[in-house]
Amino acid sequence: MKSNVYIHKSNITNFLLKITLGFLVFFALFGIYKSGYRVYHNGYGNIFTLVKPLLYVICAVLISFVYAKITKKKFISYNLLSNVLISLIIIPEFNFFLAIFLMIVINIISHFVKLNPASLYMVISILISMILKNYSFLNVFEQEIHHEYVLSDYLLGFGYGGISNTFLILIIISFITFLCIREYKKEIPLLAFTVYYVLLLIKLIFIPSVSSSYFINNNLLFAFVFIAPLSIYTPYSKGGCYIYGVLLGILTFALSFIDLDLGVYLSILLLSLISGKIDKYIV
Amino acid sequence: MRELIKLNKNYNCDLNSELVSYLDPEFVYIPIKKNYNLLVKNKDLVLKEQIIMENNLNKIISPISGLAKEIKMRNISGALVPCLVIENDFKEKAKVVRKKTMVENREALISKLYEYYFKYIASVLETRKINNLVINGIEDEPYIFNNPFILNNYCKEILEISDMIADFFSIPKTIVAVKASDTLNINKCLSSIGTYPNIELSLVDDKYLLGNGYFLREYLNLEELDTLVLSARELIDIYNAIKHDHHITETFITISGNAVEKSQVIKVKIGTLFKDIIDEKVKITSPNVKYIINGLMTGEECDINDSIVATSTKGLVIINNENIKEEECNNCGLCYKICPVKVNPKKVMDTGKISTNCLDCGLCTYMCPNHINLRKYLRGENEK
Repeated sequence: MKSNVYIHKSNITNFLLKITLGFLVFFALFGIYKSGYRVYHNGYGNIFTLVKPLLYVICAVLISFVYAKITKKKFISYNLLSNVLISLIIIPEFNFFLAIFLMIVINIISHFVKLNPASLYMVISILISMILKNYSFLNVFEQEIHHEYVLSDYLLGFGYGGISNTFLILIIISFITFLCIREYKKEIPLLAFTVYYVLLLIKLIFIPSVSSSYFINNNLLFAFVFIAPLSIYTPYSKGGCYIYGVLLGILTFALSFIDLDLGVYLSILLLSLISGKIDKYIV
Repeated sequence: MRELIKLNKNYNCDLNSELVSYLDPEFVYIPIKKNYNLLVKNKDLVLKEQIIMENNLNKIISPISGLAKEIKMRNISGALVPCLVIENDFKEKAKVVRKKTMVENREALISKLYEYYFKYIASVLETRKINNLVINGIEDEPYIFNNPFILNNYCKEILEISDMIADFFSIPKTIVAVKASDTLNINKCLSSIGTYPNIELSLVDDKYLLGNGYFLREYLNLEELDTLVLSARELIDIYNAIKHDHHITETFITISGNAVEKSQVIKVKIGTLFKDIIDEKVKITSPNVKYIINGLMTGEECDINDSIVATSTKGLVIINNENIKEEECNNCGLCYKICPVKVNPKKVMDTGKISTNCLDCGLCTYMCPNHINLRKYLRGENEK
């Protein structure tokens, strides 16, 4: 006799993974408009610029496909999700070929070491951009016009952020949807947001001239909602998730003194390294 | 308060409201338990309710009259055990014709309970001051209908015996617990309960594990030491023992599932081979099916050709054979969050260390978004 359970809560395996990928399709479409069409249409780029956001996504999917074939794992997996996330958060003016090469390297590294690939990718690419002195989360067109942006522009997804991850309203809608899904580790973003903003308010008391990008930062919001709670790189116990969320808020705030974008990704990277240990300590 | 959940039911089962009986199998198989002396030999004539095995504490009786034959290996709850085969002579000849004795006081009731092997219930009633008697008309397993069905069909008898127990042992409160969604039983109980002023109806949420006496008692906010929870099935057995001097030779099982034309509760002899029941009473609608003994959450896949009905058997769910693919664990932690006794299935899966607290309720595997068979690890059945 074989014992099993022959009835399941959801008939769809990995429901959260699939719904997240579904949301990311809309981010990718917006990225094609914002970082492709608008730049091309305003004469700031060629035909390659127009299709670049789409090419990133296609390359991410292809890399995942090859990875799944080589490792004989499922194609629709957390590897695919991580690669698609990377393709959306890439620095807009980052060198295309270097970005793809880095994506392949990250896939190889994360096969052997359990750490959050998207955050690792971003930490490396930000450092490279800093060294090359072309570090900016604005595309060439927006570098010219971003000072004209008002709050509604930011809400509609224009302005500072990765190549396709800036659609703020969509981030909020996704987050609200995720809150209704049991698998989603909602404790992590909720606590991280709370701790980060509380610390930011305290900072405001001492230093009143804090840049508005510290409050509404697409990279930070996207990372907290999509990248930080990725199941496999976070603790599985509720207590572990609480600790992870609080530490993420504190670390992001602390590292924001160096650079906010680097800070958020570096915090996620560091915490993904110790998530297993948090569980061992808690459970 | 524990977090309990309502189970998703993937398909509807029409239950035949009439009781079906299959009480004349050609053979019955009586498991020969360890440390029991077999009292009959090959080709001995065995009478109904004759003691065929015994040890210092217990006796096992024959559910039919017939000829004792060879010993064969049969499957009970996942284990192959040697069974004495009795060939039915279809005469139902009993060893002694008992004179019906009236039970008029608590001592007589206790003595009857001991006589008919309700030892646990007898000892609880004898040693503890019970203030709450709960009649459990709930079945946890999806597509298993025994308790609600028995309550519906034998409501009068169950209320009568419960009232008798409550009366003899001065139990002030008797509660009939039925699911709030079980309108048939609610109506049935409301129409019968009027003559019993001490019996009240309690509607229970349709949540998994509330059919378990422990969780039901907790849900009803009753103290463990002064509460006795008896299922409808136990009560009807007690009724038959007390009122009709019948030993437990028959039981109720549910045969249901999406590969069955109509789900039904069948009264069968203990020791009947499942294959015989299915051949006689069940119409299967699909050629490629799985047989799950005792339900989809806590049951096991079995081969009906060698599996028999035991006293603990709840039923057989016959489902279309769909391959459920397991995927890698994604660390979501739902298995750990949902566990009602806070066992950590992920840890058990990773380390192989089995937890003794596990209830084997199957909730962790039910919740797993990657359909990992955690139950296998918790039961120590992994092939690592």
